[in-house]
Amino acid sequence: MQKDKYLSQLRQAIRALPENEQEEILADYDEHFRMGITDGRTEAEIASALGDPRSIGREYAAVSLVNRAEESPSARGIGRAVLATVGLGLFNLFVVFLPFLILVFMIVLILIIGFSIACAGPFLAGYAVLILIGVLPMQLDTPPLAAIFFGIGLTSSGLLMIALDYWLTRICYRQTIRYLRWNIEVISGKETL
Amino acid sequence: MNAQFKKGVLEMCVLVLLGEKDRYGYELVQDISHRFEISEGSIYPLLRRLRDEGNVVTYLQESAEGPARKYYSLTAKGGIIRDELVAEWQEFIVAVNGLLDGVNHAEG
Repeated sequence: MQKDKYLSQLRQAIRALPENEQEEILADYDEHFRMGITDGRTEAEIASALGDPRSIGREYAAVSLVNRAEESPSARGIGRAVLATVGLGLFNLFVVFLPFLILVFMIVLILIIGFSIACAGPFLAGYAVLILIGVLPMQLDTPPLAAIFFGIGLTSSGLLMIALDYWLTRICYRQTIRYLRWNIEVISGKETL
Repeated sequence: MNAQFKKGVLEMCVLVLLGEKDRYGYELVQDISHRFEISEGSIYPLLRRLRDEGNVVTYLQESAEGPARKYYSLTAKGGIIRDELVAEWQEFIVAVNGLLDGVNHAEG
């Protein structure tokens, strides 16, 4: 492969990165080619010794997206970082993508349950209040006051669950970043060596 | 050589070479690939990570033969990491060699 083709494939693979990062990376490889040519090697030799520009580019993109997801946390950011890491190897479908989906599913599930429990409280308490003030006929087996207390308890538990879920999300976020970084360094990009 | 072997030691090799003197990227690649085969393009992502982590810094320097080259220099922090990696490596190869010797003796 010639230098121009090599650099354009590399550029294509890192197009998701900020412009200045792209330029820096391309400058490194451009310099490498120039030094190699001074050294008496052909462009094709240098290119084949460098390794596949697409997989090198994908690794750069994954690292950069993980860094960005760490610096400014967002659901979109971590999603992109996960997808970029998955793109480094088929195996990552099973050790990155699937576990991540399950994690997200669990966090959302806990949020929905917490929210439902928190919402159920005022309904139950409101219903008991209506019985207590005589608007509705007595239909509960338990005393209305107990139902009110129980309603308050439900809402508090629901809110607690939401708070715990928030805390859990933060921990999972941090650990996911760490895991992606480790994955990129240790498991993926093996073929780029 | 097994790619997983190399992945682990490449970082240490780079830090050790930069500890000796500042080098530019191409020079680093040559100094390593003369000793064992690497995919040359993998050095640059590694150097970038080392820079992001504050283990190396870069500067541009004019060269006699042409445009400026990007030099890499080991930081104090990088020196500490290098010493840790080298110490772990020494310990590791002594243990592995001990194991290999033990098995060879048992067989022979």
